[in-house]
Amino acid sequence: MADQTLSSNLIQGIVSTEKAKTSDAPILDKNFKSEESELLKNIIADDETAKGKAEIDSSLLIETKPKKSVLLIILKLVFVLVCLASIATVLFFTSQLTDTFDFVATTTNQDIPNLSKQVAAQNEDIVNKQTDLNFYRYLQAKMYVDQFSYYGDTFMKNFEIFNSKTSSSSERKKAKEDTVKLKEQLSTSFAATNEKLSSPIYTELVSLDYMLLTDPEKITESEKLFKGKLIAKLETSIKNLEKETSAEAKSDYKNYAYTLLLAKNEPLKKLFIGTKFEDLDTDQKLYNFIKQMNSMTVNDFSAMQVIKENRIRWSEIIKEIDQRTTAIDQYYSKDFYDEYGGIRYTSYDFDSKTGKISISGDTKRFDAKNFTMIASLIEELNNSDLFQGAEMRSFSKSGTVEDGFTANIQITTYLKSAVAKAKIAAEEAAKAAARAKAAKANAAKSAASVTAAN
Amino acid sequence: MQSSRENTYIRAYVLLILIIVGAAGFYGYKMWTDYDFLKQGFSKNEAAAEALKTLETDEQSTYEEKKPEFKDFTDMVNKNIIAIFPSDEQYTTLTKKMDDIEAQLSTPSNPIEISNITFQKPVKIEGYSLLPLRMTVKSSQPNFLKFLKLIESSGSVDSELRLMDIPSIRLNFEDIISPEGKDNKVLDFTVQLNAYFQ
Repeated sequence: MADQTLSSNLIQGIVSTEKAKTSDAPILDKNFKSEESELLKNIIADDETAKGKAEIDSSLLIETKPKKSVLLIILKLVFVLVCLASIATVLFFTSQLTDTFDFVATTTNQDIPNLSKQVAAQNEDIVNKQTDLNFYRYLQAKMYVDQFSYYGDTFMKNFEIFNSKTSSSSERKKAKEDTVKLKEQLSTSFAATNEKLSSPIYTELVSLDYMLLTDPEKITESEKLFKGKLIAKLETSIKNLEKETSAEAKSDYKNYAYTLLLAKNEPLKKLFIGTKFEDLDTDQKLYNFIKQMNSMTVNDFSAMQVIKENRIRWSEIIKEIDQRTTAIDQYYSKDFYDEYGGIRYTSYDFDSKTGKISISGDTKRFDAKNFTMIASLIEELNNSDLFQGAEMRSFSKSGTVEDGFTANIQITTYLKSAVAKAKIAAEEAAKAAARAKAAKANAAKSAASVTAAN
Repeated sequence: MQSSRENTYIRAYVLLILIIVGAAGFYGYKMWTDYDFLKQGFSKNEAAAEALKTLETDEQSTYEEKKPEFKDFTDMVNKNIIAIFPSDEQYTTLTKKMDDIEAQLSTPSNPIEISNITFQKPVKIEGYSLLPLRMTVKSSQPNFLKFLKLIESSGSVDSELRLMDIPSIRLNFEDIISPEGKDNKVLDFTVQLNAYFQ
């Protein structure tokens, strides 16, 4: 206890001395202060080691705390500010560019603005507007395609009349006049169709994957997106009208159904966009274009076009037989058979399935050269662009020099076009059979390998 | 000692600040680029949406304006198509049409006479159907050719004659004396026809 009092007094004395020194000599250097502090600490340590507890007047120690560095304080402040700013940045961008904080909006039932979502909503709105725009454009395009098909059908008929060997000059003249008028209507429908189909189906969308439409791949992607939306809209419209019974609803239903086919028909769209009407400067070119278009279109006209293309123009075939016969017998069809002789037909038999034509008749000659006449007729028929394989293997004649000699004609020939079609059909059938055989063989092979594995 | 500790703290703080500023700066720059892109896109989208709205309204009005015209056209086409490519076999209408053809072509000097028509069972083919019929006809040569041409040009939207084709013809030539005493060639032919329907 005596020790403790002694120590306390000593400390107080030293501190008082120290305080006096400080007040008397304020310009004491820091090192000196530091040494004295160290000394003081050692004394306290010794005192505590000696298990004596000195009472410290802490108020006396206040002035002895080391002064903090201003720079460190500033740095700490800056650090805190930087941390806060960083957190704010992360929070801001996360809230604006992601949906991480959606739960906050849901929980608090408050609308937190999110730029990314706003842009997405705008994009959706743009997609819907562009789809509506495409919807009305395609409905119109479909009508113009129908108009083009309609006028095209009449144009083709007139073109065929004009170029037919069996047409009279007045028929040809009328057909030519009609084609001129029809060309104007076709030109108008073509231009309108082209305008509707060549307008871009897509529009640029703003998104973080930078859908820049200068990249052809992105354009294709975008076109696919908008085409899909258009098809979906048309399908929905069709579905909505399925159960409607009013005449207008039925008409709209058919209209939408054909527009849907047009929207899916990329080759037809490309054909229209890739063609300039001015380039179809001849009737033949225009005829070929309409034919090509009909082969790509799916509507009533296209179904009829297929039938029309496959039918045989028998009147032209009869005309061709007449012309080939006239080349051998100059009096043919002039009713001089009994007087001067020549060729007279008694029957024709035409079959479009096989393309076979059977011609029966007689020849009459006063010089007995009936066989030569028939042989020449066979050769003439074989020279024709329409026929092939004309033949007659047996010849016989009878008669006298006075009454003339007569010989029967029994010629069979084939239509080149029908034979070509039959050949193509046979080739396709053979290919199909080969494919079926290969498939069967593969199936057998697979079955065998499965059995072996088991 | 104190000074050394402070220096360590200072260095540590400076380093931390630099690291955080660097990371936050990189993150902020990257995010700002996206944000700025979207911000500009937002304004662009607003303008685009406005322009599209105008275009869409115009296109819709054009369509609505032209709809009656389109409807008339469609009705006219449908009417013609129903005549040339009906929705069912309609053999009675076709029979009447054959009588009309006979009346239209036949004259005393240029006769045509349809003596028999036999309809067979309709056949369904992919995309359409056909009604086969056989006709026996006696006709002058010019009328025979006219008849062939009529069938060959049938199915045109302006002809109103049902779409048909001729798979086979068998014809025999006969000589007959016309009422005027003129020797006319008369053809006696049997023709197999296909009349098409949807």
